[in-house]
Amino acid sequence: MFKEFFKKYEPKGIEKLSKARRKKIKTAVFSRINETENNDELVSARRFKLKPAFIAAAAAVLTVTGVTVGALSSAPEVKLNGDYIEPYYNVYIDVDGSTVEILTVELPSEMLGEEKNGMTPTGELKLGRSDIGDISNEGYSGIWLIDENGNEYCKINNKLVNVKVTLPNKGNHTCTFNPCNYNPDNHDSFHFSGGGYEYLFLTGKTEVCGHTLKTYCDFEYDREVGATVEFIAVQLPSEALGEPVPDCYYHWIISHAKLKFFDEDGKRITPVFTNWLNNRTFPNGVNDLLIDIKITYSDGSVENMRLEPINKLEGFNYDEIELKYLSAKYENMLDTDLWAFDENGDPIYYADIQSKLKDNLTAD
Amino acid sequence: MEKEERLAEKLKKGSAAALEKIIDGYSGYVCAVIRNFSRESLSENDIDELCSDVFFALWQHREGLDPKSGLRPYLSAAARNAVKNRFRRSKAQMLSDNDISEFEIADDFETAEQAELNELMSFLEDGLLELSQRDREIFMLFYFYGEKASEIAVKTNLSESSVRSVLSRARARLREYLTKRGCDYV
Repeated sequence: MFKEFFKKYEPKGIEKLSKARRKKIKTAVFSRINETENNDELVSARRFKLKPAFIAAAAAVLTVTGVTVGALSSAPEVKLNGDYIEPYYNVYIDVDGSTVEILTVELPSEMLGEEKNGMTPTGELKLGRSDIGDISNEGYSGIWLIDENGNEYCKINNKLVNVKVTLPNKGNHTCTFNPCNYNPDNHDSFHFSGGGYEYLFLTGKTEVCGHTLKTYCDFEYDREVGATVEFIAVQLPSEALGEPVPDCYYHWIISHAKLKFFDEDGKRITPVFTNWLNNRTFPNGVNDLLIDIKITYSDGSVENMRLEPINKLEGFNYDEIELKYLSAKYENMLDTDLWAFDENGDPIYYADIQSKLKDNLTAD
Repeated sequence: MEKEERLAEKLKKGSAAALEKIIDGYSGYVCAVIRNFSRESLSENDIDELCSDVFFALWQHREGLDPKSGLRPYLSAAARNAVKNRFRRSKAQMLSDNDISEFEIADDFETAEQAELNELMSFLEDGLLELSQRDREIFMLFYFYGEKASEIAVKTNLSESSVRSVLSRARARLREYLTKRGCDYV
């Protein structure tokens, strides 16, 4: 009976909230949840969802020279009934083969409508994770797509991979998604696109500051902005490795549509993508990194602040941002927009930082 | 968006992703209910804050959800109670419509009593079946969506006084129904 009523009537004045407003509400909800629950899985899920893998995954020099979105277009496709799908992530990153975190996500049932690789899954697909013991033993994790009956649909052994799941909700777009045929041995990246966004996933390994890391990066950019992925190189924050490496820092220069990274010699080493910069999670406490940021404005003035690994820097311009990773703290703030800390290390939510930056900077 | 029941099921199992989807899909709904019950006296920030209260409570009490009932009954009731408690806390002017305070679904949104809301909702649903469909809809528009009697009157082609009479009768019948079943929420 309730059902009938609620189906028949909607409250007066109902409207879809803006993305920013929904995010604000979500942040508040999950912050409270995280305050009241010591639930690592939940925290992880939240992080994954909101921020794919950037800085964290951004450990190390992951070089994908010459990769462009166009060049990746040969990736096999899975059409989701022609619908645009909205991302819903998972990730992962492996540091020295010791830890793998994989988020369990669910694939939309709409993905089940097609036969893939000789299998026609039924029901809901879930991206599962291997047993924790297996992960620690193997150093890597396999990732499985399994149907609701537990039947394997797709398996990627011993490789880091990202699966971006989407929900069909609007428009007639085609999404490509191919974890099944993705082979990190042969490719540094794969991507799919849809609904005005491009998604690029990159994996690799590298040695930075004397440490070899398995890395994973996930970029999402606005196709309408016209960003181009060029190549990637990032550096590992020293604290991620448990020892000080003072010179491990990098510079960012961001225009409203581009993000450029430079190494210490001023050589450009990074991806150019958009107004999206998401970061993700480091295992083993690397999550907790704070970042010192020096912002140089166009008038030459400088502002220093300390941030959590940035979340999303969107739609505004910087002249230069210099980052340096610092100590571990305030883990739960990863999911917020931009957090700053005062000289005592107390957190200050820097709600105005974006507009402040925007007001003071000129476009690249 | 996924079906409401399915999301409720996932939420009940502790899926944070489901909660996110629910917030995405129903925050507008919850905010509308809050706005209506507050008679548009709250700022957008206040509404958002109460909205987050509602979803936080939904998460906390997820295990008691009945997925078959969907999310809206819970969300609308929780939103309504969130508004009430906000006014209560701030000692601000309560809703101008006194009828609202005459029938309380739950007393304190932020206490363990919230967990009992589900049980009450079940009782209430049964009790509402005692009413005619028209009276039931009037009752629910008023108490679940915060619509004014005058607005409901327009919607149902009744006079405002008739709507108030319906509400009064409905309250009396429900009070009797619930009291007989040992429910002391009213």
